[in-house]
Amino acid sequence: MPTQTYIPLANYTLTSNDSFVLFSNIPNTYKDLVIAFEGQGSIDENLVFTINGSTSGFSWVQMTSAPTTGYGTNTSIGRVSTSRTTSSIQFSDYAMTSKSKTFFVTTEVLASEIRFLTGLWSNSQAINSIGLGIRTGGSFLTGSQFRLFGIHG
Amino acid sequence: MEYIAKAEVGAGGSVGMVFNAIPNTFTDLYLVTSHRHEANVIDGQILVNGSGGSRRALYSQPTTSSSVPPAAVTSGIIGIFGNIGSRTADTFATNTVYFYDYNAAKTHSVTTRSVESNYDYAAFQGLVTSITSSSAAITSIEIRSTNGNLAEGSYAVLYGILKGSDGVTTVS
Repeated sequence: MPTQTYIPLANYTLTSNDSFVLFSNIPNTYKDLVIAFEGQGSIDENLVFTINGSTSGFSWVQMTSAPTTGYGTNTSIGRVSTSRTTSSIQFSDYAMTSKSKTFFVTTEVLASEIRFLTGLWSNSQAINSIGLGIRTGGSFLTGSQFRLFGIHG
Repeated sequence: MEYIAKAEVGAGGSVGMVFNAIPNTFTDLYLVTSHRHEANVIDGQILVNGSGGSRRALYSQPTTSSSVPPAAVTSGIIGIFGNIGSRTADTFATNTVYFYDYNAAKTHSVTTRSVESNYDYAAFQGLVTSITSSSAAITSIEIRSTNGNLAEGSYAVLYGILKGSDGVTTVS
């Protein structure tokens, strides 16, 4: 029997607007993690995240269909729009304690904008919590959906 | 993620690869394809419930060995790419396509990652975001070229993804 992948770990649909969503107590028994997001923001702004509560040690580069910054050393790792937005965030080897963590993010504002970003969190901690928010005070709107999956190696 | 079905193109090619009667027991759908077109076109299209949609694509297609910046295009189809017919005969484009919330009665978000293959650098890579024109639950998906048939040897596999909880991880 094939090994099932995309093991569902957590699922959350907002019943009211929320500025921050936090996955915590993430088990260390998988190889990779994937977050799937579909929703909208109260404003057009950058998607930001935290890992284990940290907002430091991040660096990234991206290519995008919109003229914008191509690299950064902050936690702005995607986009959220007042139009429907989807995002996939994948963390490789998230439970390893001997390496910094790499991730890649694809963000799509439907039929209008695309971003593909690869990044590094310069920290060897195992990832046990991931927070998602919107920069400059925006909120995720009611009905936005967040899913976390574990992938076996 | 669980296997649902596989579609293949046999001798002589075929207009499309079709998945019908897709079960409603999952949350999201994940489609993997390896396919090429008989005609010299890169653009394929996905029909959802028999209809198209609109897309925004970010792509790069090197014609020299040096890198090129990505370009963007918008058009009225649900995007997917297939190897163009003039590529080496045993090469196929690889696509992964994610359909969010496919059982909901709303237009659907579709995300495509695509890589063409060839024996040199002149191969096409693309990211596509699309939205379906159909607002019904997705019960059928068809992969086509925008011109002519899909070539023999093309195939597509459809998987279902189920959201849920492991009882350990929390989210708030």
